[in-house]
Amino acid sequence: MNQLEVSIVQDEQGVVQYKGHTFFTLYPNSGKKIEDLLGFSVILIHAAHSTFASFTIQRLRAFNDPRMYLKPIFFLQPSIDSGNYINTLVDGSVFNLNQLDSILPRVEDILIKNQSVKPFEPNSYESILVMKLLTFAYTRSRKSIEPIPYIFSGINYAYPALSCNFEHIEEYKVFELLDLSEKEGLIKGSFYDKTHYCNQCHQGALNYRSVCPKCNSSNSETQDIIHHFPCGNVGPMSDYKNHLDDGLTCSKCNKSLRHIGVDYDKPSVLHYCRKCTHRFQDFEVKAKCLHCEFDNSLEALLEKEIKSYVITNKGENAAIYGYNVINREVEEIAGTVNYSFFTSMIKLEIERMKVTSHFGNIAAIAIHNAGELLSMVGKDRSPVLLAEITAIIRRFIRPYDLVSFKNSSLIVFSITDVSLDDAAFILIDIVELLEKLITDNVKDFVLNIEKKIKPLTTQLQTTNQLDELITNFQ
Amino acid sequence: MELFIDEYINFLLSLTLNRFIRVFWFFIIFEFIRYVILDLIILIVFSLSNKLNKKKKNDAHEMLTFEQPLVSLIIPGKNEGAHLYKLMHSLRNQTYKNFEVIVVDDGSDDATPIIGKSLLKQGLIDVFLRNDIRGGKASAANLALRFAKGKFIVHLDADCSFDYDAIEKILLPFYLDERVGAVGGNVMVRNYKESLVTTLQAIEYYDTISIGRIISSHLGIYRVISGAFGAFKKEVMDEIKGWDIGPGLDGDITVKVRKAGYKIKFASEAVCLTNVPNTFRKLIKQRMRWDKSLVRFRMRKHKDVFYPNKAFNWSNFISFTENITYGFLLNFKWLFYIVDVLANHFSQAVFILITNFFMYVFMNYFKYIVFSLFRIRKNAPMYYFLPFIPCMVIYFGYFLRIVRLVAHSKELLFKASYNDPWNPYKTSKHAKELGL
Repeated sequence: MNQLEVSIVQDEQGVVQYKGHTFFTLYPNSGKKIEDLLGFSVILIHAAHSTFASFTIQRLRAFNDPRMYLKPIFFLQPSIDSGNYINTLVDGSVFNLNQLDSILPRVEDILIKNQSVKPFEPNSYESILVMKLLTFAYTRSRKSIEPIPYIFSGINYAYPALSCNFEHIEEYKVFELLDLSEKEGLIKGSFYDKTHYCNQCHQGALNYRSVCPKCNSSNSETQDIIHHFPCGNVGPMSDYKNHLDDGLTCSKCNKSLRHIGVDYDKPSVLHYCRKCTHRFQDFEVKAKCLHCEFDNSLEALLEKEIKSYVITNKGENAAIYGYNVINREVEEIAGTVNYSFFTSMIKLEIERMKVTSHFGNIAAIAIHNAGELLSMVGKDRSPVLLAEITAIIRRFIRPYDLVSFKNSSLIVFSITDVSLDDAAFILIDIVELLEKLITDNVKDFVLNIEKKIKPLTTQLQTTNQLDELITNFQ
Repeated sequence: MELFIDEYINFLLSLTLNRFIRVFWFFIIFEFIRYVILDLIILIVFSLSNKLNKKKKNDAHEMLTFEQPLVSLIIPGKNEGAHLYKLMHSLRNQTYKNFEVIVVDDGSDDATPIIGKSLLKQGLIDVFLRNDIRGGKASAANLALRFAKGKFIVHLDADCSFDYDAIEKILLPFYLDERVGAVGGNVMVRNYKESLVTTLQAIEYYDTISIGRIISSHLGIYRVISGAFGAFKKEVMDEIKGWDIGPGLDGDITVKVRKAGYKIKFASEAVCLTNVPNTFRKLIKQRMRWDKSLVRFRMRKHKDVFYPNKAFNWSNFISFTENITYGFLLNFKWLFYIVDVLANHFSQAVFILITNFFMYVFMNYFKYIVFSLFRIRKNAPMYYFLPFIPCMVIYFGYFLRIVRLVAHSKELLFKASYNDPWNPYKTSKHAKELGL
């Protein structure tokens, strides 16, 4: 009743100041950019138009800045129940601004939790999304991550905090991230269901059809096979159809078939393919992908176990303090060594420098949007791209120099026996070639690359020199 | 014992030519003259004509190779799944490659449907049709025929295996004479070592059936194309509208082809191996079925062959007469001979039977050795069967004759074949009503 007495009014921009929080109401055609919304404490999405509301909440949660994806967001005046998927992304709903009091406790709880999440810079796209998954659950006090059957999902089930980041065609990558998180011990999965995906495009929208085993057409006609007892004649119903009186007449002995079970029976059926004229008794069941139209045989479908997950203690800690997932694929790129070996070898190089007059340099290249780049390239082609990057670097350095991926976005390597100036030129050439490689191969991708070089010195510890090199990238 | 031997020698010495003929008339007239003298003459003629026709045979082979017609191999049966995989591999090794394989599962209640579908998926068979309700061999064969696309239909039993050139060889007679409507393959016994009964049947197939078919084929009176391995022209099968209800449909279809005016040939070089019944009980069951069909089909269903105004022609008439005389009447005549011996020579009956036995043994050895000169293909070493030849007198002369007598009597008096569970009752009932 209190809410009815105190009328809360928003200003012309849709902003409401209430009990220390700034609420912003987002209407269709408001023309706001997502970045413009970062300053408000709470977003209210005007949800009378459910499509707008669903679309907007997904966009806001997909934004890769925790200030936005963790922000308390509510629906205002929802017209219909938006379903579990959207309801998981949204923090609640109010029917008018006078009900803001009812959501305040929730708002404050989320904001307090958001504040407890320490600032953290993930080093790869995988890390961004894993952190989003964990922090979103943590700030909403959720201990588990449940799959939601979702008709608009490309993979039939949605994990909202992750799924909203992908287009349908790429939604399968949600599983890669969940598997990665489980391998890292951040979440723990248990069986929920099994589902099947197209072998070609990993989409789950499949049309199971009975088709001709020869041509895959579902355009067929089925006829009973008739066995006439007195003469042993057997054939499809059409052989017996009498066009004069619509009865059945045996084509072998010209007798009328009168009584099923007494003078004839129907021991089986026969299917006739209208497309290729093949006759067969057993249909083949195929799953036609509604996305790419590929006809999958059932055995070839990709079977995936859908899991529900609980967040482990390690996962909860990661949500608060941050965590970079290890992409083990980068350790297996040809021509590279793992980072600990690289560190040991640099240590030896410094020892060598102590007794000789050789120069030694270490360089680093950071591809800040490597996560995005690799997700565009695809899981299968990612190792190829990383191998090509390595090959370019190796082309400019000496055979005994070492290359290592600290992670998929940070490459470190040594450039020895050349002066710092020469090494800096070499690094420029390498970066130019890398930019060319990526722009040639990945369409519409703007590379965010940064390079750094440092001379090795015998005065500092190896780890200090390497830390100095790889930290403080923009 | 000495006295018995003395008396037996006296009996032999007392035999004048007239008395010999009087006492052993059955052996001399119906066995020795028909099955040794006549057969030998025909085999010699056959062998000579084979040599003279070598070029014709080569031409036929060339025509077949040039035309490469599609052949439909049809395999109808119930619960035959276990044999199918082996059979398909035997077929894959054939020299003749242009064939389609159609398997019809006639209401099997074992794993046959699963095996059939799996072979279909593997591409080892081209068409697999299953009738959930059993309709009998004829209906299964007719279903296969309905969907066969080949110029020739080859009917096979699933438990058989084939010489690598068997399909090619069974097709050749069609190219030697265009009036040939059907060709029978040469069925030999695979399990001849399994038991005494299989060994005796092996000798029977080796000697009587195989040689008998060479001779009857040459004379134009070949009677039964074995269901295990028989080839038919598709147009002929369409004309006679396939198989009628069995049991005994192998003989029936042969008669139908013959009555439609086509020649029937035996291809002795087209060899197929099959397993024969391995106990006397099973053998009796099989032979009873075969023998009943002689009365049912030759003497009832197709009796119009004897009516000049109906389906009469000389070769059919001779074929039927020979078949009924030797397969049916002689059995009763043999009974008459036994009565004759007992009635007129009772005191010497034992000596007569012993002498008969020795004569039959001698005749069987003679046939076995001499006729082997005319055999092209042997599936077992000759010496293996030599010790069993004397047993054939009992097997062929007494055992099979008695089985035949019982079968013929049962069929004549009770139409017993219509109650044979080999064929589903729902169809036999109609066949009995219609006299088919």
